[in-house]
Amino acid sequence: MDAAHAELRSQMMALLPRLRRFALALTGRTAEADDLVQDTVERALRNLDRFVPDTRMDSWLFRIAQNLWIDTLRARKVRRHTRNDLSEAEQLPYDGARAAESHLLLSQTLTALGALPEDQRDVVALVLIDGLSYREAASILEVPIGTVTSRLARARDALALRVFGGTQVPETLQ
Amino acid sequence: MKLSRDLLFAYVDGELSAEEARRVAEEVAKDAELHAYVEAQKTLKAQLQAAFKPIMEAPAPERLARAVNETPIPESKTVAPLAGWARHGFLKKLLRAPALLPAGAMAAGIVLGFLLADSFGMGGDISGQGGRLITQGQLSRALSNRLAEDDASGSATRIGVSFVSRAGQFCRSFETARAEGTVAGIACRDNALWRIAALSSEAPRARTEFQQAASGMPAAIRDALNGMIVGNPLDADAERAARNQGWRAR
Repeated sequence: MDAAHAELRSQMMALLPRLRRFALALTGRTAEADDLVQDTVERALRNLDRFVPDTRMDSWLFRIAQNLWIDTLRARKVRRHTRNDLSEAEQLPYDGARAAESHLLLSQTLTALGALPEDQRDVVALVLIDGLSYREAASILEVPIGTVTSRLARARDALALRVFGGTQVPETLQ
Repeated sequence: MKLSRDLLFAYVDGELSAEEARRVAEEVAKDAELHAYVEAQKTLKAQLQAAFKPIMEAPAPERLARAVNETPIPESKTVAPLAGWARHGFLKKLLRAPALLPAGAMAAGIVLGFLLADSFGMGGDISGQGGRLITQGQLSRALSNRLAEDDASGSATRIGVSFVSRAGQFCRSFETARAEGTVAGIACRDNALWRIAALSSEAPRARTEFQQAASGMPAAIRDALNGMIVGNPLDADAERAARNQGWRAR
């Protein structure tokens, strides 16, 4: 039993970077992201009897994190658009010239993500950033795959507009 | 092959079979405009991933490593208490009535045992009535009278959030300290009584002053609340108005 628990804890430890990235994409702030990750980990371990062995722990943790974040938004009555400031810049622990560069890219990206509706941001975080399949994202978010693809298409247009000033959709696709 | 935006996105996201991907790649290679579009989509994805690279490479903060290594894993929580409860007739009824207790809350460790010990006696906060659990005593008074903003120091009961349930009733979350430990729950106003909708003896989590009431709730109660609530929790004005008209369903 203890060996099994130790194994699950070590799997969870290995997933921390992806979980932090996912949480940062959702919350837009590192401190808040790490709070969310901590809540997720604690809840997961307290409810470890609900984890089905040999299923994907990453999906399970993402689902818990996403549900907790929805709870937080509801409880705090946070409105998305209040998040879009750049105070993130002071919170990130990176320094040095090279780091400052990547840091700026992250700030801009978080701002662009922050402008998306919540449900589109979830899909972007799972599929475009984490690289999960449509099916895995649909299962985590408990929506049909068609919902994932349509949210993703809308999010891509919105992000392209911010990042590239828009993309020309080829005539053959219109 | 008829190309569509969705097909190209699926191509960029690696969702196509090798054969489908090969055919899309052929079409895309024939058309400069399509090629540019696909490249832009790939760049967008690569750029998003690059932006998050620092957080992927940074060591996880100490507190997260501690949470992973030190959060206690409970022994199986669900089986043992049930055997004891089921002896009681009204509890059998209760356990057959899933509407009374959210299934998730049950699995997450609702423990009624020590509450019932004195529910059958005198003076408890909670008692059984017609197969339902209702509040009484100081817990009832706190639920009826206290606003979340009131000073609760010196009282055994703390009120958390007030909200309207799907059934249209006013419900309130609470924590009440007892000799055996703190109990958290949700009570809903039903025919001039506070009916217990969820109950947990899982310890509420430590709360900082920056967090709202809901964030300190045991997970079982928060899950139950999320399944019951319609819209947002009541704000201070709405809560006061509800109290002043006796928590009657609207």
